[in-house]
Amino acid sequence: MIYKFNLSLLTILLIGLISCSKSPESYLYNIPRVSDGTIINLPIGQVDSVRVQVDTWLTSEDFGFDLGRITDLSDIGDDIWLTDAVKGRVYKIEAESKSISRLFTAGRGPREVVNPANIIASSDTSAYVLDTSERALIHFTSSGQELGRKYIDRMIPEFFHSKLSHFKDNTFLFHLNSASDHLIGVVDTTGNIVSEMVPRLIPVGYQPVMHNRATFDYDKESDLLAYAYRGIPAVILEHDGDLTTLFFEPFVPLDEINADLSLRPMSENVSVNIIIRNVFFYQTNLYVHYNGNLLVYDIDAGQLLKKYTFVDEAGDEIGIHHMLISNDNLYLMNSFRQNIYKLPVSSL
Amino acid sequence: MKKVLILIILLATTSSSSAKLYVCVENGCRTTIIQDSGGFAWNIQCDDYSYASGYVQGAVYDGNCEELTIP
Repeated sequence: MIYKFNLSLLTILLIGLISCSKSPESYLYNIPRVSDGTIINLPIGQVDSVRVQVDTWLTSEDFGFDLGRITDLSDIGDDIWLTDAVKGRVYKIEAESKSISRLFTAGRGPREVVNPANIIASSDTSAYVLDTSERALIHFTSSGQELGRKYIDRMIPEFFHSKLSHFKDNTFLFHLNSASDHLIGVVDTTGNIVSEMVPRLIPVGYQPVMHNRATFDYDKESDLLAYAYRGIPAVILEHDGDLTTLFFEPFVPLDEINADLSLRPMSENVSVNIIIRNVFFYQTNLYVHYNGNLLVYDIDAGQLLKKYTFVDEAGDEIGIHHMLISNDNLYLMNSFRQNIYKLPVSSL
Repeated sequence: MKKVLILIILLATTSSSSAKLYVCVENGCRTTIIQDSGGFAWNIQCDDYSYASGYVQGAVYDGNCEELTIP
């Protein structure tokens, strides 16, 4: 009896030792600068998983027609502005009544937009809209008057990979185009690119070029930058030159979840899964839109707190293509169904 | 489903063109294509939350997606 017990205990210990000593996937060291910092392995399979039922906030029926693709949303003054990059429209939603109006017409003149991809609020309640077709950063008042536009030649033309975030010293982060050595540019309010960061992962002239797409956010309070190569299951946190990489699939080979990093000729068409769809800070946590789920990482504790999966009234999982926080609310978007869901972040 | 759409996208001819936008919804997926002079970038979002992207250099999109006019 004692012998059997000891054998079982030994087996458990051995399994424990083997799993603990399992090495993380080495491809992560191909990511620029990662090996210079700390790597934290956070297998998402081991984190608490929670299903949250959400209600639809807006559908295409509320708009009265098919939406193109809602690419961004932000509280501007007392209203909420939405950008539809495909239809070339910016909508204003009154927060209380949910009444919808269109702000600008299509075109290249004043108070006109072509492919408005991103929007952020300024501290004075005005709004900045990034138009990827125009490669312009357009400044509007909260009532929709245009204050000016600055052209940024090296802006990425793909609105589905574009992002705009506030950065330090009254500058913005945006996604650079494919010809650049770096993925993220810093632009000031006059339209000058003042610096570049995050080296490209795949060299110019090789596939899979879509591994050179990034998402990012910056937290002014903690001076913390978060960024991710969208096809790699990791997020990198940078503060004052120090890097910490959060690795969410440390024991899964990349070729099981995405195109691997081996270089192919540019003539080859390589599909890259967009694994990290967005990263954003809220209070003391980092939120990661990871495939269709939301990961919440406690920055101070260095812990992955929860993985949220969102379901509808019937309990069926909702595919979420875009996710962001604005004014204490979490917005979830399914581009195929053209539904937008909304819930207070505090309800998570 | 996504692989079929990706295959359709691969059916492209080689030449150059100015910037154009194509969109289509079929087989549970929404496909967006941006064509510029160097080739085209494509992006597929499906109802099962899958989301993929690619770039075809030196090619002109010649599939079933509808062209949207950019003013």
